[in-house]
Amino acid sequence: MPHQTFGEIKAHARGSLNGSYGIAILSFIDTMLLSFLPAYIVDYLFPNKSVFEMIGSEIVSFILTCFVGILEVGLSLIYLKICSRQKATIADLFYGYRVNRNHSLMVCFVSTVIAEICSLPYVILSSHNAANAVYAPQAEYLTLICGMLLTLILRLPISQSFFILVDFPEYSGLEALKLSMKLMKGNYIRYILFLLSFVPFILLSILSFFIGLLWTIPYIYASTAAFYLELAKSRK
Amino acid sequence: MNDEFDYRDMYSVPTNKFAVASLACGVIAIITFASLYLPIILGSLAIIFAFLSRNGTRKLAQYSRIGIVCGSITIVGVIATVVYWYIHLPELLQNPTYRDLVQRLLNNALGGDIDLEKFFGITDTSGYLFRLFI
Repeated sequence: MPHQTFGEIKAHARGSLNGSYGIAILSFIDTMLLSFLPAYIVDYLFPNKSVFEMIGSEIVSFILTCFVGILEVGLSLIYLKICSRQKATIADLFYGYRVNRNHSLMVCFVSTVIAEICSLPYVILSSHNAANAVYAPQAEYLTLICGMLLTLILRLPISQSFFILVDFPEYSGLEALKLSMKLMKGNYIRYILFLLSFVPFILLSILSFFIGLLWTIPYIYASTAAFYLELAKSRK
Repeated sequence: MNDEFDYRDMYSVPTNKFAVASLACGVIAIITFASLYLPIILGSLAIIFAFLSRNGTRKLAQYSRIGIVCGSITIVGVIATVVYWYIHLPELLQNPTYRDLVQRLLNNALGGDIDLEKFFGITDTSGYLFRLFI
């Protein structure tokens, strides 16, 4: 079965979002606010930056990020519902905590481990720099950007696992990860190009002092949900 | 002409809320061109809304097209104005009337007596442009 073009997938997302922007924006704001929570808690618990406190803060941050990351399952449910023209509610955001929490936690764990490993050079460099000011700030930014890009690339095979957890509630976390890898096989470049096609939107949103993100992020999420639906349909 | 057919709808894209929002943002962005931040925000939003207004079709609504044109003109215009202003700032500050105006604006906005050369990082005109881009 031939793949749909990016234009068709995005048209599907735009059409589905028509009339559902309220819930999409609300869920985005909720997720943003809740995802800031780990950083605030870690800063409150570990105000000083000694070596032991830094290790402690990294461990606590990791656990909290895993737990808050379960919201991604709820977001996937909301956007799959929107793309399937079903009524989504804000209660769906917490779906991952209600149903198969351990399976969701497993996927979040793998996803967070990848992000943590990739951001390790930045964490080490910035902490070293804070104490001794050895490297230029540009080196910190460079490791941060490289870490983010590496995270994006390494997460590609498991990028569909949150949608799979919602689509197939009987699957365990490991099975969802495996199916995601199977679905994404041969589609890595296509998915990267698909994500890159949103860069102009992101740049315009930044130019609008981030106000545009209120509409851009739901659009990107809905498009990725439409991408998953198309991927699943073509593999059936 | 058969009245049962709606010929108009066959060839035009229905106007939706995003297209209207794009037009409104684009027009207000053009009107507020003289202010610094508002036209950039509204111009970007006009372009974003215009592309979001495409409802499954490739063709953009008339309102969206106007929104894109107004938004693009505003963004490019504001950026060009800011770049021009920065490049010619040392010369502009030689003019006593202009210098007095900028001085008063900055003093009112930030309080105290602001040293313009220090504030804009102008120590000598020759190195000024070079420093702007690094």
